Amino acid sequence: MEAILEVSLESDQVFQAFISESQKLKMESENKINLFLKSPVNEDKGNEHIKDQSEKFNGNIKFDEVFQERGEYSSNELAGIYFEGTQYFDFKNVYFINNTGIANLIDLIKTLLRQGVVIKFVNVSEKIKDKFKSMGLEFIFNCS
Amino acid sequence: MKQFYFHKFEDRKPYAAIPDNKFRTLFFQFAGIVTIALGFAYLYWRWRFSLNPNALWFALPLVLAESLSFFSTVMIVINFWSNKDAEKAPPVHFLSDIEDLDGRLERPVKIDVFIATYNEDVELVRQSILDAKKMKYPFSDVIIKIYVLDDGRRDGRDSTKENMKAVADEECVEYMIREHNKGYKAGNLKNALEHTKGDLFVILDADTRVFPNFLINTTGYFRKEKVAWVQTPQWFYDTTEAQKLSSIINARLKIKNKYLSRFVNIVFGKVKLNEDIFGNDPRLFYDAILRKRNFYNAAFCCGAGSIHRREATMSLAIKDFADGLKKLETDLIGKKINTSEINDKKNILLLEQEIIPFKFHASEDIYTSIMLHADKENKWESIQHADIECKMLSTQDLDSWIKQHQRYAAGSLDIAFKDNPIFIKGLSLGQKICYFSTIWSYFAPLWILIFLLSPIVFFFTLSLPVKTYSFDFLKYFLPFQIMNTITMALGCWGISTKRGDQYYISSFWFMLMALISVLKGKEVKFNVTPKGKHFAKNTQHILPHIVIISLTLLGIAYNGVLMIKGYHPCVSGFFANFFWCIFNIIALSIMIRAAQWKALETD
Repeated sequence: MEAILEVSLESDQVFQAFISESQKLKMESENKINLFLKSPVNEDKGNEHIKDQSEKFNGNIKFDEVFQERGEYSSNELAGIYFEGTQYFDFKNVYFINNTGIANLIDLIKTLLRQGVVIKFVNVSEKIKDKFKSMGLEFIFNCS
Repeated sequence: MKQFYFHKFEDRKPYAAIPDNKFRTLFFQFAGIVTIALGFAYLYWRWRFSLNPNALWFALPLVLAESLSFFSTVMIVINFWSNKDAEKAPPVHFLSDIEDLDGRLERPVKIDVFIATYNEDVELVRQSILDAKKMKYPFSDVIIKIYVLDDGRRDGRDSTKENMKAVADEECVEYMIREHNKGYKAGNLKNALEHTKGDLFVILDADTRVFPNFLINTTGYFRKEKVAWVQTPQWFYDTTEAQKLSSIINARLKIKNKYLSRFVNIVFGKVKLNEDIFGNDPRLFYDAILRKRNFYNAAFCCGAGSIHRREATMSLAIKDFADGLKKLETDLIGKKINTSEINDKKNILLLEQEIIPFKFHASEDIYTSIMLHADKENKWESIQHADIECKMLSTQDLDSWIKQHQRYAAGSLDIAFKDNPIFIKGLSLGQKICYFSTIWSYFAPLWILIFLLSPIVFFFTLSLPVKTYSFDFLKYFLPFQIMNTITMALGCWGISTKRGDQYYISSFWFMLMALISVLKGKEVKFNVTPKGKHFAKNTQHILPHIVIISLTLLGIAYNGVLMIKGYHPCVSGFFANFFWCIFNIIALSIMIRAAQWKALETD
């Protein structure tokens, strides 16, 4: 039961990251994100030990583990907005990301791409851009 | 508790690592240089002056085989050149102990322990779980999570299979499966890494039983931020015991008469045979070969009994992902497709490409190690820990042993042909030599076969590969051989190399088959090494040995007759080849005995 709660909680955290400023866009985003975020939670509780590609995103984006934010908005939220087929993420307050975090971002890009959504990261610090570049990811991560 | 054959070996104590000795290292270096110099002198003489012009078809392959074998000696001397054990450090507590926080909040490190299993007896896996649970750690806030990674999907859904999940639940450890077996063990670990969060993770096989101080003695190395993994020696605690020759005779001849049996005991009772008959003891490999590679930062990971830094593993996986994608994109651009089509295909490629922490390869451990060592930017370091921190089971029959070693051979050869470390940018010269040395050793059957066939060729053709077995031959050959023996003794100080030497020769056939299979481009498959006794038919593996020994004995007999009749044209050649044959027969017979050993116990 604990594991399921954790999954739900972490899914919510991920979901929070996608909350857009506009309510309409938020709903639109929500519908798309729900496609992959909610399904694992609805799974049969007896199968929680089955870990496969299909349920990889439930909770993998944990900002306290793989991303670090600072400033007044420091929390488990990463601001985002969905607009015309593109999901924008605001990296303004993100000052650290480790390799597991990068792997999670790649997985996120892939999952949203399957839904026809493109991701763009905005306000990315030079330090994080350099990190992406050093990994050879500059052409995969759409940063500005 | 279910009884296993290995329970009688539970009290066996592991060997202590050979203490480092600077003087011995100096002696070795001196002896090594002299050996190489004498080797060059010998080979110069062989190529320049000794070849029999009337039998170049025989002389040239032999001298070529000797030269290739000498090349191995040179690489061994380089491999063993010095010892540099990493400095031990106290176990880590906080994240800042292992990496720069870079402004992040401090927290205790997290450690995951992965027990990978596929089809092993669940009660055998339980033993590994129990020992993993007994691991001690001085900091109670450090979270240590144990995961059973079951690629056999034995979660109770199939009533014909044992229930691994039930055992994991009973032992209160995590249980994780996936719905496919893509990538085999490497894929299993990939799946685990995607769903866990440990900063460090331990890899154990189903039969790997860690000692309580495993983590205490290994995590300290990660205080050095560049350390990517630590490998501990794999110690097989179930190697076969020595048997009395009298017991073997009694069993084989089925002697039931107690007086006769007593007589056999009196005559042969003191002679013991068959200790570690399969040559499973890997001490030479871990305590000498791999440990000395610390000097070049070239000790590679061998899977079970290792502990890894997640960040290092993930960095390689991401770089590989990006490189793979870049390569595919470049290929597309080369095909001169329009931009929008390239973008569409790029997206398809992005979706197809996976992040793979451990290479999906039959030799995933060494392959991943090569790539981590070659990372120029991060300059990852590896450590071969000297002391034994866990125990595991060895193969218990020749068929399983050969399959396991054939996979090692084919996997390494596959790397040699597809991604040869000599040409990989980022590796230092020392690392290239060490990795190439491992791969080169799998080419040994090419020259061993010539060494085994040469006396037979002589016996039946009476042609000599050298002009004559004269004083000149001994003058060059003996000093080189004597110094070579001294050098190897110093390099492997304190470690018995008897079985290793025998299996080096005796393995020629299956290694040759592995080489041919890779050359033919056959895919190297990952087969799970059976843990336990499997009484397979072994005769097919020893047929080549029987043929060579028979031909050798026949040749000796034929030449003996010629000698008696006074027709033999080269008596010195006969004696030289006769002694050579004895060495060959002793070495070859080990595999025949190994095949027999199983039959003996079955009786």
